[in-house]
Amino acid sequence: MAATERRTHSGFAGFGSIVLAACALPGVLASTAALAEEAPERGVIGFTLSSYREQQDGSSSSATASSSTSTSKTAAAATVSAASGGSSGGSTGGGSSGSTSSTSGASRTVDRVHVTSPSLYALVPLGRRWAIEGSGTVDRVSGASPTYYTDEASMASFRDTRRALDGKLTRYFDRQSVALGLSQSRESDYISRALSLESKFASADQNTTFNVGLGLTRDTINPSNGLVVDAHKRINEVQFGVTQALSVRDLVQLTLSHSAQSGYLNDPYKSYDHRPDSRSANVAMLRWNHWLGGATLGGAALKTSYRYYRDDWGVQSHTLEGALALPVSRDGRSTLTPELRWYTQSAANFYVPVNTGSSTYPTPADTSGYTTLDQRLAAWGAITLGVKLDVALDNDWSLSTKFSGYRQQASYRWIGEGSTGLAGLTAYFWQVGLRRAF
Amino acid sequence: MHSPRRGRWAPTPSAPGAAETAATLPGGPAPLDATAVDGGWLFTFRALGGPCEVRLDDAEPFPALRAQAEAAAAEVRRIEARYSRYRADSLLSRINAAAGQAEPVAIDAETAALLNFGALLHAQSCGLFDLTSGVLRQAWDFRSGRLPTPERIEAVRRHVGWDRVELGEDSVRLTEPGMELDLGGIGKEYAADRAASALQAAGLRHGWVNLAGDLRVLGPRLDGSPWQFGIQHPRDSAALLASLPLADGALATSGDYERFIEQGGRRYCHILDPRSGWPVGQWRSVSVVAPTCTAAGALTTLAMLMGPEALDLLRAQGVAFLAMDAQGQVHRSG
Amino acid sequence: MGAIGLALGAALLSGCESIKPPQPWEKGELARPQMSMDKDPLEARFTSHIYFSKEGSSGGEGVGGGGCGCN
Repeated sequence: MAATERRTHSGFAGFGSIVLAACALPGVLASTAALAEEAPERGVIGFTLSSYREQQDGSSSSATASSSTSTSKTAAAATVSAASGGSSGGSTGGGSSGSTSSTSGASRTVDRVHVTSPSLYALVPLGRRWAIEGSGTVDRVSGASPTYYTDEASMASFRDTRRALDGKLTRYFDRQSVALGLSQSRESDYISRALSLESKFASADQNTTFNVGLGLTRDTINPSNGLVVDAHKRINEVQFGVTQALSVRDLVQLTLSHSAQSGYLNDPYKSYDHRPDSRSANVAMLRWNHWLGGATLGGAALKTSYRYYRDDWGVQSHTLEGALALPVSRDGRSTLTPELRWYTQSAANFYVPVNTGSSTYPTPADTSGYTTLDQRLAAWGAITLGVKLDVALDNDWSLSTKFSGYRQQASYRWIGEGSTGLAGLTAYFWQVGLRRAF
Repeated sequence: MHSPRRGRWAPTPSAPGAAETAATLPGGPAPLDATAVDGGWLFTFRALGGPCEVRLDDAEPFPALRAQAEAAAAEVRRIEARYSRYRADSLLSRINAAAGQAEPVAIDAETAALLNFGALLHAQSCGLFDLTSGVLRQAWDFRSGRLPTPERIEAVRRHVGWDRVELGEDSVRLTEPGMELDLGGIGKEYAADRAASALQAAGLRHGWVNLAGDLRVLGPRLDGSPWQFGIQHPRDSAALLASLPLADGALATSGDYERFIEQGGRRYCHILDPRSGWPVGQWRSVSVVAPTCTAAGALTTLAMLMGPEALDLLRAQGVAFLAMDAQGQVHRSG
Repeated sequence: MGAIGLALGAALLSGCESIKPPQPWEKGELARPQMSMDKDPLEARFTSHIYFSKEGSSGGEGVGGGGCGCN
């Protein structure tokens, strides 16, 4: 029927499309206005509460057997800790086995790290040419981490608070912008300071945007076990990117970056951790946003990305992400977004595979070169499933909640064998945020 | 990449009167009149068939302001010279004269952009907005006060149909004789935008341009406070429907009171549905505030044509609006 | 993996009637907030912090966000 057709068609009109089209007529807007890169029209203030909780798989041996094994391993752990210098772990001492949680038949999980993180964000446009933004975060971290591979008996518990503050100042020109960012993060054993410089510039038809970025990070490390004092770590990064409007429905972005780290790169809380004092990495990331449109409620967007990482420690990884933004309100401003992330990595070439044949903590066969037992530098794959709900409460306020589950295990590695002998890791994290535009 | 600008929301008034008379300017351009008003200068001239005003409050010496107002008026006249259907030598008239011929007419980027905008409006309104519907005025003579016969309307409506326009990147062709292009609904608004942005590019930030009710604000008064514009009441020419403060953006109004025939208790207004040839009747008046006058004018025309779905459209475009329906009830944006 | 690739490919091909950069008046859909390449800053920071401290690779999204002792 004609009336339905008309209704459907007016519903299809992209939000503001007529207004945008009219603004694009030649000479109707003075050149310093909307067609150029311009400070955002509205400021934003937002508060987010985030929580992260991680567990690893418990060992499958029976309770009695594990207690006897853990006794010998505890003693051995003390020896190992002494060997790597000082007591490992944070302010509450080390050597205690991690607290166990659920016992359901044969599968147990061992609590590891728990983080609660409130944070505040603000963006203030200053006229049409300037904008300033900043955020502050307090991470309250507690729990335990294994010091020897993922061994439960080697868990060292800790508690710490990290405070971070950052700010960015952006200057807008015709079709171009430049931004300077500063950040600082402080916790009891780690201070990080960073500076960044970015510039974006758009082509005349505004379908292509280039961006260039430079980042410098300078960290000072003072582990609580005193293994090193005032160790320094430097990171220099550079990034180039192109964003292109491919069609009326497609936006594509390619980013290439290179980073060079140097200084103290070891993890002082892990046993037998001796890494090179430099790490050079290259990353390529491709993102594609596709507007699916749709007959109801104004349409959905499909967002996908692929990232390739390779460094000179032998770590190579692939990350594939996909998200579908579905409209859940009549005006299309509230969305439900399920997401999937698929990740795989290879081990660093100095990662020492677990010696599963031993019940004590063997020293790696060759400690003359670089060694690490860190799970993070082993080979495995990971999957994240998440769902996010964004609700536009009214013109100014919006609420967003996100819940994700993360699972990391050796068998999830895409190509090749994952590292054996490591407990799988499970993590849940959620965020609730409230934003107001003004 | 860039999102539609959102101004401060308030209904948009239009200056009273909007009688379009088919007057060709004899001889050279009419002179610019300057009047001192409290706070600044008001420059007036006649173009596009109606009174045109440029208000400038910037603290510049009068000769400089006058020169800028002259330039703005010259821009309005330039657009009139190109796109007025009442001038035989305009580009639009040349295109119309070539209707039915095999050879397309070459057009420049500005004309192509305007016609493409018309094409977009045609597509997004399912054919309600049609730049070829101006030919219907041959059937509807509002000054005579007599309704046309259905046969006459049908005879003229045969020439209406944007799908029979071949629009290329730099050429256009009306494929059948008798077809006509008419930029009513966007032409005057476009001229207001061009004049205003030229003034803004020259650095003027306090004033507005008003072309017979289609207006575009350069910026607020010198003290930062907004201008107040009144929307005419559609049934009481001495009263205002609303008063609107506007510090930037544009305001346009369409109504059924500008030109109409009243017969048998019904009002037949000058906004005609191209699919039937008859006037629309859902709205008495629609006013829109948008970043540009072209956007506002296109949306008021679309809203008048669309009938009940008009408010959904205006909400989907993120603009502020004020509309009075046929029952006299007023609808505002949130 | 292959199935996902095919699905993505199908979505891409079905959606592109024309790979032609849009005219300014055609950018209505691209301007929607869901289509933005930028992510919510606090959410993005928290998520990339998690992956940075649990995985062996990092980067690709932005420069100089600063580090932490979590890795």
